Amino acid sequence: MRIIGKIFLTLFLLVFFSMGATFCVFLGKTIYKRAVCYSWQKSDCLIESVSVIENAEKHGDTPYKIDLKYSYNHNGIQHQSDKVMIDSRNQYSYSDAVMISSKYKVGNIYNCFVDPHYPDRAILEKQSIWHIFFMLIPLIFLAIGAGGIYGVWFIGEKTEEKRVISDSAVSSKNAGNGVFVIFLIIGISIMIFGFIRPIVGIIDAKLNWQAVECDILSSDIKTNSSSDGTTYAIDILYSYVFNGQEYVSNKYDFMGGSSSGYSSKRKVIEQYPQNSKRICFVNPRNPRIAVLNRGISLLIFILGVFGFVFAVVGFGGIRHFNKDNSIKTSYDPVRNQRKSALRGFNQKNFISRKGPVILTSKLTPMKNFIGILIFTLIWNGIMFFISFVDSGNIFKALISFPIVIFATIGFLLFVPVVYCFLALFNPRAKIEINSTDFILGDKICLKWKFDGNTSNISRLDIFLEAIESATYRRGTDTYTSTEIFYKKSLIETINSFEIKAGSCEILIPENTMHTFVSSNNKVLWFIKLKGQVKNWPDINQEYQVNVGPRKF
Amino acid sequence: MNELILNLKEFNFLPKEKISFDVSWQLDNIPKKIEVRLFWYTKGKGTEDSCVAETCIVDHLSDRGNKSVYFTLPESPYSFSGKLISLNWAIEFVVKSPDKCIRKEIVISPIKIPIKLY
Repeated sequence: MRIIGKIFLTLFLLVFFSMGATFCVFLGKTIYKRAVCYSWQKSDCLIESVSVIENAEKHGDTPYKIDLKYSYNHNGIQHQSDKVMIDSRNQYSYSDAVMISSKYKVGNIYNCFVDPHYPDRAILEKQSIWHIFFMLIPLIFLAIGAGGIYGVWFIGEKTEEKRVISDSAVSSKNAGNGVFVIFLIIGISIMIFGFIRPIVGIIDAKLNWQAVECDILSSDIKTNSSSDGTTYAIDILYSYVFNGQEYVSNKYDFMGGSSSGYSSKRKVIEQYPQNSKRICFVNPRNPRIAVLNRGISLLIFILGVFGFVFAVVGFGGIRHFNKDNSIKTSYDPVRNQRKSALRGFNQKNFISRKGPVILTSKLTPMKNFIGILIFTLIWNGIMFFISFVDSGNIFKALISFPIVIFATIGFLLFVPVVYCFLALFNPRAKIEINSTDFILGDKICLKWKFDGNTSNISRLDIFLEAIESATYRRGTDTYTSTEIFYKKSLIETINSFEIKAGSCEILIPENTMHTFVSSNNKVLWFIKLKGQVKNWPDINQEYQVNVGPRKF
Repeated sequence: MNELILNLKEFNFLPKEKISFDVSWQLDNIPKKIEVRLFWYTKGKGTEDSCVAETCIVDHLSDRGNKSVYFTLPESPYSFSGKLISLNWAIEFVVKSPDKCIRKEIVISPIKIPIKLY
């Protein structure tokens, strides 16, 4: 590999490495901080004061903190602390803050845990460290990056003579497998935590939570400014009575969080003015939890789609690489010989038929049209949504695409959509041939007949074509190049009678290459029909045929 | 000193032809595996594909020896050479631990030379 190639590959792998290292460090620090607390000494502590107060700095939908003070004795010395957990920013929603603080009563004695090395440090609750298992994900990134860089620079490249080429056919592990496993894990995680769990919670809320009248105590929008920009969160504080007890909550919906888009949140606030009475929905199993809006937010669907796409990419990639790895010949234990494995043509995707056969094409004008239409709608839908979320106004959205280039591409995509739509109205030819299963040297006998009006077809070409196809990867992108090595015309005509219907024959040459299909390299044979139509999309029909080797 | 010999006298064959040749080895220690493989692989613009068609496994492993190998060549794929890809057949004599390999390229095609696609 050339030095420039090595440098580019190293830079690419460094991205994996640094992502993995960053997450490992952050996650590792958190887990270490929590794990260390398990060695701290238990002590009795006296709760001196506890309350829930609003944060001086506004923090989206977690603007409350627990103000808790307790004292304890360690080795004869009196200490004070205000920490509940070691790893907590002390930012909560109102109901969460009340839930935690209500566990501790002033004047009561509870267990606390004291750092034996620094007795001034103590906590009331130890936190779990089960999410140490999530370290696997950044560790995989780290391994791919580090292992790849090591391989690029330190593992000597074998010359062609020293390399055992057949080893890759006998058994091969592909690093790509690992990458797609990551995609699959991430996709499934997003789908479970970002989509399925919230949906299950929402369905439960719709079926079981009870509608209760509530008093709106305050109604405002919290602003969160950072280097990435300003985001806004709905902050509505309300009180309600459930089973004779009063509760306070500030949860608007299930997702919470803050995002850009001020005007949509302003509209919500206007529906819940201070000192008004509204309906909230209370969880009867835990009345501290309530929401004003138990609907499904668009964010949940977006997370579901993202998770699904990641999972599909991961699953497809794993299937692809394992399918390649599973190409093994079968063993015949007698005489230490393997059964000959005639690989190179994948019969699974090709149904060979003898006798007169009406050819069918995998890609029809309708499938082309639907495919390009779906892609165009998804592309433009995403662009519109991004703009709409940002501006909060449908009219502004139409004229204020924030990403001009992508929006322009989306607009231009309508051109092939229209082209494919017009092509739907072209007449289609029915093609009958003597077989779909030929060998080199065979004769192809072909008949065609157009349904519909052919008066606009000015020229008809039917030809036999063979191509080589090579698929290769550069970085994360896959490319396929094709080269035509054989093309022979069966019929070229401008005669309207001949265009409407006819028949012809052609001999497949003997000393050329038969159909060959492997994972990345192919030799394919086609019968193609092309009809030129005046002032209209042309007719293009393509049919793959199997041309086998000569019989010996 | 590790030495492998693959004694193949001819290199151009017709499909389905039966071939035989001798292999011999002289190694510093008893290896873990000794095999002779008939396989094809692709070269060129596309990512390399390969497939083993036949394998002859040496049962009784020793640090030196020889064996006669018999293969029936398959009907396809043919050896070919195109503008983008080429397909080559080869016979590899492979030893594991110590890792040694010797390869001889052969041609399988109805005209006994690689089919040219250009």
